[in-house]
Amino acid sequence: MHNRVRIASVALVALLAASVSEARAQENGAVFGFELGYKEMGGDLGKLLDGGIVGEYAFAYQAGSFRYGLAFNLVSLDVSGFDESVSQVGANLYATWMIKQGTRVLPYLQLRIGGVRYRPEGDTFAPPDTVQTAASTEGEEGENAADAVNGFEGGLLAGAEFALSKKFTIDLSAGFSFISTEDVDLSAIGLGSVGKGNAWTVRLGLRWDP
Amino acid sequence: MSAARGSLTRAGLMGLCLTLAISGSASAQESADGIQRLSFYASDREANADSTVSEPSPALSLVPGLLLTDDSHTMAPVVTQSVDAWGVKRNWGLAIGEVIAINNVVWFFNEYLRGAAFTQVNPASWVNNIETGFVWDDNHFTTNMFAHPFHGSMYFGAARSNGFNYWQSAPFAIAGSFMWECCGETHPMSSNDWIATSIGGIAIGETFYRLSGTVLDNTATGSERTWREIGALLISPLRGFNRLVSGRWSEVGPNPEERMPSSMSNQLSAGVRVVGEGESISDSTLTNAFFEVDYNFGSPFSSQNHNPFSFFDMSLQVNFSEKQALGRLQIQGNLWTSDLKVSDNVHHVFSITQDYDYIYNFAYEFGGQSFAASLKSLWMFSENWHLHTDVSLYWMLMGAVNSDFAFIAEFPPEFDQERLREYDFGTGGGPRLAAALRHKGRSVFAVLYRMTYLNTLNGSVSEGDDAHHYVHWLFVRGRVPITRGFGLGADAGVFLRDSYYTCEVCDDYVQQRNPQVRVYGVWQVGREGF
Repeated sequence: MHNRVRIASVALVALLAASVSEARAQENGAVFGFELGYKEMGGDLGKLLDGGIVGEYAFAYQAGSFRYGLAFNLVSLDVSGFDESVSQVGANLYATWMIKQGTRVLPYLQLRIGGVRYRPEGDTFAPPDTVQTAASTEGEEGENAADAVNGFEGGLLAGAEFALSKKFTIDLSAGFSFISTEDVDLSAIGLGSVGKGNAWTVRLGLRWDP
Repeated sequence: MSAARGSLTRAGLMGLCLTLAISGSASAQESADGIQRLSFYASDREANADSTVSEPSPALSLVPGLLLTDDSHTMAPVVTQSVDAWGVKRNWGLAIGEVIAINNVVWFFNEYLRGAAFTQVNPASWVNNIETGFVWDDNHFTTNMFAHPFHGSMYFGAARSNGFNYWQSAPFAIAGSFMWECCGETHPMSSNDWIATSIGGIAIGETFYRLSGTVLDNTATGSERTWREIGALLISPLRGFNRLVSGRWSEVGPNPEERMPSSMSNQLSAGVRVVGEGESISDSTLTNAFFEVDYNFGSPFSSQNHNPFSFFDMSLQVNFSEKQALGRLQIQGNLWTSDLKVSDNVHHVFSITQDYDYIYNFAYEFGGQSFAASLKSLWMFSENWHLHTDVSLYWMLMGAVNSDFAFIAEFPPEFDQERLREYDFGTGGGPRLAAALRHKGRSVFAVLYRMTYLNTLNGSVSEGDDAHHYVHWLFVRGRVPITRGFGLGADAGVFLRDSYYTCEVCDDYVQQRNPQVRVYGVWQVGREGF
């Protein structure tokens, strides 16, 4: 594991170093983003849920120094001290202020707010009458999920993009967000219910201006 | 693998039925349950190839790819912009974005409306799916053999309507399907889904793209224009969406040549269908009404320029009082065609075609994605009497047929089996022989035989066992014209499945036999009629 982290770190540094060879001129138009990162839960939610690897993709529109977009992020959060996990889905609207333009490194600040949805994963949390126990010719997958709860997440990110070419940049960011949801019920494994918390996230990704 | 994809796709079919009648028509054709239709036409005009053109520049262009500026006389590369026959510029961003958006919509439907158990996706599930690899799944026949291909047609349509041609759009269907399989659901990736969604999606997608083109008319204005655009939107939703957001929805201009082939046929049939079991049609008889749409686009005997799906046949049958309304959807589209012999009396062409089959009723289930090599011939005995023949050998990349012991299908431990499948997946192929006799362009008599061999890959087999299916169709048809646009028709035929098994719990040999008779009226929307 340490070797992997070391190799990934060296590769990242090399990539960033190689990327800053060209000044990037932002143009108005569509922008896609694909990112991976790590999300660490805090607050009340953090007492029950650990962190997890987060994946995010985003559609955005660049307009001058600002970028407006819609991001979807997906993460599976481990339940502290258990083998169970809880799925978190976020759909966020965001506005990004590109602090500098036309430079090799493009720092930015981003404000985002949106919906967040939690659903405990696995049959442990599913209502008993919805778990299919015998195969039949009539059944179909998809009916045995645990109930989901919905809420809001809002936060601030700071990051920088490193130009790879006119169309691609590497994006590195870190952010903090507040979360408020209906109570996530983990009583099936003897834990309580919580609905408020916060999260720290670091992300590394690729932006593409098609 | 998600069953719910099917529920999102049915509205499109309704739109298709409503708007088919808008299209013009030219010549008659054949169709019946289990029969891939014949398409034979005497003439057609060339369809346009997708093209690459140079955008006008203030400078003087002397050589393709180069320009000579009028002030400095220096050579510089011309910026070329790829556009399709409809003048749509190739747009990678929109095409890729729409493919992702399609998966998002399906995912949201399943997560938020259906409360599905397979939508808790995240990087961990993506890695898990990649590590598990491909498996065969246990979904309903309709889900696997129709809903998934329809879903794939959306990926294809996203690229096709953003300036990509048939071949360039195909990878979008393949990649979009892979994206869903690996990352859109937590179930293991399904090989049958990937094939059906990709290959079936390409066939359905190109068919609906071409079909929507016949409804569109760039010269139309006012309410006619609006209704045409709505019709095209219902047939090819991504194309309609892209026309709407790009402004092409209302732009007035010339139509491309490929919009209409010189020959096109649209037949609507309605009647009664009787299906029996065993030796006699009176055993376990099922009688119900049906409605059928047969559509021909273009002709293999027309021009030298045969782009993919420059001619295709599509047949769609709706059954009443059946286990599902959609009883049959079959498509055969050209991929490549070359003339072999052209004379006053005969015209032979060799074609490579892409086929899609979906047949689902109480008696049997059959479907698959195929590619065929065909010798198509037009024999002109006299001015009034013509014979059309088709000798094909096809390869079914992946097929499915109802089977007696499919419930023993094996699934890996990672797969959470939730139903017993009633059909086998396999690969194989076989011959297809067809002949149609016409008098003054009117179909008088037709006969078709088709055999499909399927070697079972998943289903009625356990470790080391084999299961082989030989599926035969034999149909004959007669039609009597009553008026110019209306006729009466009758089909008689049989579906025969010979299955050989070696598994421990199986009988060695099982035969399924279903005779069928159909009597119906048929309306020809077009100039030739009956």
